[in-house]
Amino acid sequence: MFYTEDTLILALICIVNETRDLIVFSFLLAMCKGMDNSKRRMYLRILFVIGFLLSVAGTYTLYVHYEAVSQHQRDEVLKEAQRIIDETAKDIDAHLRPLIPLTTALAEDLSRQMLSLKALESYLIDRAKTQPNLFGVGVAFEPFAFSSQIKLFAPYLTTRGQPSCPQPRDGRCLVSVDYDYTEFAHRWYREPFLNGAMWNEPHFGMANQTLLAEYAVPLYRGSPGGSALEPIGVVFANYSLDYVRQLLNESRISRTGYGFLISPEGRFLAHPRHDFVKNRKTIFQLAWAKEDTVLQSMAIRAITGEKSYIEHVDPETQQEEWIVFQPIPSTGWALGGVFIKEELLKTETFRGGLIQILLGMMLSTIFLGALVATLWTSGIREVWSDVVLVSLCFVVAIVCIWIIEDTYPDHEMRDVEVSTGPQSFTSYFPNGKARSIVDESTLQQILHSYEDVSEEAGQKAPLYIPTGLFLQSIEFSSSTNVEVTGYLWQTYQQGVHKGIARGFILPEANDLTVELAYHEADQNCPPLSDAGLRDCSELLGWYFSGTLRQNFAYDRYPFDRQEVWLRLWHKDFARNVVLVPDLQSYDVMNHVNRPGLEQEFVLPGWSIVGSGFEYRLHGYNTDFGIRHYVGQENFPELYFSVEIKRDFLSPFISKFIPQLVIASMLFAILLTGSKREERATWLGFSAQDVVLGCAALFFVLIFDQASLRDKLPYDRIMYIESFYFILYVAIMLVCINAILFAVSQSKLIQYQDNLLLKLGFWPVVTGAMLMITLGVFY
Amino acid sequence: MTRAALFFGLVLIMGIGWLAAYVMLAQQSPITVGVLHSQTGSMAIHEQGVIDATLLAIEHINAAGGIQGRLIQPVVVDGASNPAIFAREAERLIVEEQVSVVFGCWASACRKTVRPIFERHKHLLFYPVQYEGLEMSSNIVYLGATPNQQIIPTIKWLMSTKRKRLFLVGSDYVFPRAAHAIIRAYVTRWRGEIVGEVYIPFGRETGEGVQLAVQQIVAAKPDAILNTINGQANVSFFRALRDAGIASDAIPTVSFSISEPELQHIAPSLVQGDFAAWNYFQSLKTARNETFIKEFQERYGRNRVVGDPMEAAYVAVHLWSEAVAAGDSAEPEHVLSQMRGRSFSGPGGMVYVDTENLHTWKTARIGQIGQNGQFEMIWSSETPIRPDPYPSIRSQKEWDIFLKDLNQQWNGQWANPNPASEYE
Repeated sequence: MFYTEDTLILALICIVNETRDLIVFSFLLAMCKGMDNSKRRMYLRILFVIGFLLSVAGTYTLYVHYEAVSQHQRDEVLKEAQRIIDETAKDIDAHLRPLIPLTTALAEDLSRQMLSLKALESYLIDRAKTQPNLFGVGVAFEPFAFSSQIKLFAPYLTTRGQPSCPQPRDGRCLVSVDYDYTEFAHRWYREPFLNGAMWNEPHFGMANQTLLAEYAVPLYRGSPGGSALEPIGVVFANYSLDYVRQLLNESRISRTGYGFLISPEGRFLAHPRHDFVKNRKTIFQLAWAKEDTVLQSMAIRAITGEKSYIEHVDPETQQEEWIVFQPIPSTGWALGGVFIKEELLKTETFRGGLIQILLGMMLSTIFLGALVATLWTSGIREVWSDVVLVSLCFVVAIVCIWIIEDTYPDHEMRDVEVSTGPQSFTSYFPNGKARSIVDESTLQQILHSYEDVSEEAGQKAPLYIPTGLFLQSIEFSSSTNVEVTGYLWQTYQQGVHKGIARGFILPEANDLTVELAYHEADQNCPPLSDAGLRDCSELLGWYFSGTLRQNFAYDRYPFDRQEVWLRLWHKDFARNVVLVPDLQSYDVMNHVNRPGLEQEFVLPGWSIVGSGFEYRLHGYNTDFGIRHYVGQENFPELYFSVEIKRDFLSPFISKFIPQLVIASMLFAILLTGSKREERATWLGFSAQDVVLGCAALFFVLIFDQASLRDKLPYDRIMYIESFYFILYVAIMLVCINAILFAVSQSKLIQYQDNLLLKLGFWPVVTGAMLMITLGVFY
Repeated sequence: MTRAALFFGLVLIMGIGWLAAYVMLAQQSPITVGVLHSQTGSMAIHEQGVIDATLLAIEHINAAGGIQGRLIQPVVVDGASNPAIFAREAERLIVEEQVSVVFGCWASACRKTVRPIFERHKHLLFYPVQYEGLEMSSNIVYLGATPNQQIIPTIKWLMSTKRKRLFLVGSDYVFPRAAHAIIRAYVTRWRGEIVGEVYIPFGRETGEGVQLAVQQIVAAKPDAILNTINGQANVSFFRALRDAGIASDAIPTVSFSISEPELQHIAPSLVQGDFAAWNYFQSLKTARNETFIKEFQERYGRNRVVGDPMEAAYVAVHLWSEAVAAGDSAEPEHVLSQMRGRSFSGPGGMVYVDTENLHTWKTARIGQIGQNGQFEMIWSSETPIRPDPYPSIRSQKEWDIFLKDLNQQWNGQWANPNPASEYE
C-alpha cells in the first residue's frame, strides 16, 4: 500500500547495490586465483574495502528508504485524514447551505411587502415545506413595526418538538415568541442588525427548549441590506444541533477518530461529548484547562478560516494525535477531526525497515573487521579473527532484533470475531478489532451510534450501566488459565434503571466467587434481598475471584505479549443493557497509565504494558432460548484488558544460557578432534568419546525442551524451540564429523586437522539462529 | 605505535575543537534590549510597575540560561511622561545603544510619536498597554487590548445589566477621544444613550477640570460613568465624585486605565464598588498566576501589586525570547517573522499573536474593586477575542481621517496642547 513510485525506486536501488556487490566480489575472487600470497592479500584488502564501501552505501540507501517509507506512511495517513475532513466539510456545507437562500428570500419578500397575519403564516408554512430537515423559521419584528397596535410580534413556525402545540399547522406548530427579544441579552436578534446577515452563535431556543444553529437576516423597510433604511426586524431559520451532530456522526471520521464542529467564537456545535455542546463550552476552555497552547493556536487558526492540521500530544493522556481542521464555507464554522496516530500507523513498517538497516550495518562491520584483520594479523589467526567477528556480529544482530521487537511490537495479535452490520456502527471496529475507550468522546460516539442501530432494528433504547473495575491480582495458573481477583462496581439511577437486575457475569470465569463488598443507596432503596422490581439510585461494589480460561499465543516465546481480558456481561444480558466504563472513577484513562490496576501490581515473570476498557462486537449463533434476545448480532460487549509483556531475564537465564553453554561444550568436543601426534596423545581423541559426549549433551537438551513443553503446552513451535533444533542438528553433525574424521581420507575433512568444521561451527550455529530470528520477527 | 599516535592525535584535535566551540558559545555576547518607560512625571505611577515586570521577565530568562546561551542585557531609559523625550530616547536606543528590541511606552501619544522612528529603522517595539486601536504597524507588537477586547465587551456588559445611559469622561489625548467615538457609536446602535462627554487636561498632576466634569455628571444623572482618565488626575476625579455625593452603588464608574498599581494611590473608600475592564487581574485564581505574583513580590516587595499592563509586559519579553530562539536570531526582522501565530501561556492565560495585525488574542474581563484594593472578577468573555484594531463601525479610511483631524487640531501632537480655555 505504501510502496508507491518513490519507495519502489529506492527498493530498486537497494537490489541494484546488492547485485553490484556480488558481481564485484565474484570478479575479484576470480582474479585472486593463482596469485602469490602477497598479491592475493592485497586484492583481498581491496575486496574488503570495496565490500565495506558498498555495504555502507547499501545501508545508507536502506536508511533513506526507511525514512522515505515511514514518512510516506505518515503522509498517506494524514492525506487520508485530510480527505475525510474535506469530504465531511463539503457534505455538512451542502446540508446547511440551503438555509441561506431560504432566509434571504424570505427577508427580501417581507421587506418588499408587509403581509397580513394569515398570509404570513401561510407563507412561512410554504417556505418550511421546501426544507425537510428545517427545525424552524420565523420573523421577529421591531416594536410596533408589524402593526401600530402590537408592540412585539414574532411568529415562529417550528417543525418538531412541540408535544402540546397550541396552533398546529400542517404537521408543524406555529408559536409566537413570548418574551422581549429586543432586550440586549438576546444576541440572536441584536447581532444581525450590527453585522448583517449571519449565522448566529448557537443558542437555546426558548420555544422548543432546543439548541439551535440559526441563520438570521436583518429586515429593513424597503429593501434588505440598505443600512440607511429603517430596520423592522429579523428573519431567521434554524436547524437543531442534534441534526448537525447527526451529519457529523454519519461521516467517515468516526472510523478512525472523532470529529467536532466549532462556531466562530470557538463554541462546540457538535462533539462526541454532549455535555460540551449542552453547556455551550468552548474549545478555548478545554485548552486553558490543560494549559495547552498548541490546542489554542489550532482553535484560533480554525476559527479564522484556515485549513490545515497540527500534531498534538494530549497533555493529560499523552496520546499523540493529528487534529485536521478546515472551515465550513457557508457557515463560518470550523470542522475538526482528531486522529490518533497509534491507531493509524503500522509498526511493521518501522520494524521491518530497522531490521534491514541492522543487517546492512552488520555486513559493513564484517567487511571492516575483515579488513582490519588483514592489516593486523595474518594466516590462521586472521581466519579465526574473521570467524569470531562474524559470529559476534550475528549474535549482536540477534540481540538487536530482540530490542527492535520489544520497541515495535506486533499489534495484530488479537483475534476478535469479525462481525458485519450497519456501517455506521461497525465502522468503529475496523476489521472486527477491539475499540479502546480512553475518553468520553469515543465512548459517547460509539453509544450514540449503537442507539441508532437499536432504533433501526426496532429494539428498545439501550440502557447503560456505568461499570468500573479494579484488578488486585492476576496469576497464571497454567498456560491457558489465569486467576484473577478484584473489585467491580456498578451505578444505577432511579427512573433510568427501573426493573433492571443488579449484577454482572464473567462468562469466561470458572470457580467464580462474588461477594458484595460495599453498597451505597438512597433511602428509598429496598434491601437487596428484596426480589421485587428495584427503582432507586445505588452504587454496588463486589469483590470477585475466579479463573479465566483463555487462549494465548506463545509463538514468540520468550518475546511474547499477551492480553488478559475479562469479558463483562450484565446480569440482564438478554435485554438491551450495555455496560459502559465508568470513566469518571479513574484519574487517567490512557492505556499506559494502567487504569484499573493496583499501582504496585506484581505479576511474576511479566511486565504490565497497559490496561483499559474496550468494546468488541460479538455475534452468537444462538439466542440462548430467549426469543427477545438482543445481543445475538453486533452487540458491543465491554472488556477490561491487561496487556502484559514477558520479562526476558528469566527465560534468558533458564533457557538461553544453558543453550549457550551446551553449544560451547559441543564446540569444545569438536576442538578435541586432532590426529596430530602430540595433541592426540594429550587430548586422547576418539570418535567414540565424541559420540558419547554428544549423547550426553543431547539428553540434557531434550530434557530441557521437555520441561519447557510441560510448562507451556502449545500446539505450535515456539521461537525458543528453534534453537533446540539447531543444537540437535549441530550435535548430529559433530558426531558424523568425528566418525568421518576417524575413518575417512577426504581432503575436506582432513584439511588442517579438521579445521574447516571447527572454523565453521560458530558462524553456522549463530547464522542459523539469526535466520530463525529473522524469520520470526521480520 | 604510529597508528596509535595517529588515533590519539585525532581524538585530541577533536576534543580541542569541541572545547573551543563550547567556549565560543559560552562567551557569546549578551543581547541588548531597550526598556523605554516614564520613570518621572505624571505617568510614572503607571509605568514603574511595567519596568519592573519587564526586568523580572529578563531575570527569569537569564536565570534559565538566557536565549540559547546568550544573556539579555536591559538598557532602561526614562521617557519622563513626555512624547518628545520618548522619541529622542527611542532613537538613541536604536542608533547608539543598538538594542535588538524595545519594550516600552504607555500613553498612546508616546507610542504614536515613536512609531515612525521604529518604522524608519525597521526596528521592533513591544507595546504592553490597552489602547484605542486605529493603528497597525508591522514594527510594533501590541500586547494590550484593542477596543473590541476591552471597551466594546464592557459596553455589552453594561447593556446586559440594563445600564443604558452612560457618561464619558477622559483625559484630553488621542486614546480617550478615539475610545469615546467608538463607545458612542456602539451605545447608539444598541439602543443606549450617551448623556454627557467631558475631557480633562492630559499630563497634569493637579485635578484641573475635574470639578467641571463632576458637575456635569451630577446634572446628567447617568446609569454609569465610563472613565478613560489617565494618570494622577484619577485621584482628584474620584475624590470630587464622592464629594459630590455620587456613590458607586448608585452610579458606578467603569475605568479603562486603572489597574491594581494605580489603585494603591487612591483611597479604597473612594473607589470601592466601582469597576474596571482589563484582560488580567492580580486576583486571577490560577497556579501560573499565583507563582508569578509570588515571584514578583519576592523580587520587589510584599506590598507591590501587579496590573494588566505589567502582566502584558512580562508576557511580551517571553514571547520575544521564544521568537528569538525559534528564529535563531535577535535581528528585528527575523523576530518579527517568528512572532505571527506565536502562542504563550502567561499568568493571565494564553495569548496568541494574530498573524495579520500583530495584536494579541485576549480574554476580556471586568472586575469590581474591593476593600483591599484588589479586583474581584465578575465577568469574563468565555473565549479569547480576536484583536480588531479598526472597529467595523467605520472604515479604516474613515478612522484614519478621524485621527488626522485630531492631530491637526492639536498642532501635530497626540494630546491637546492647549486645553486651559476649555476647563477653566
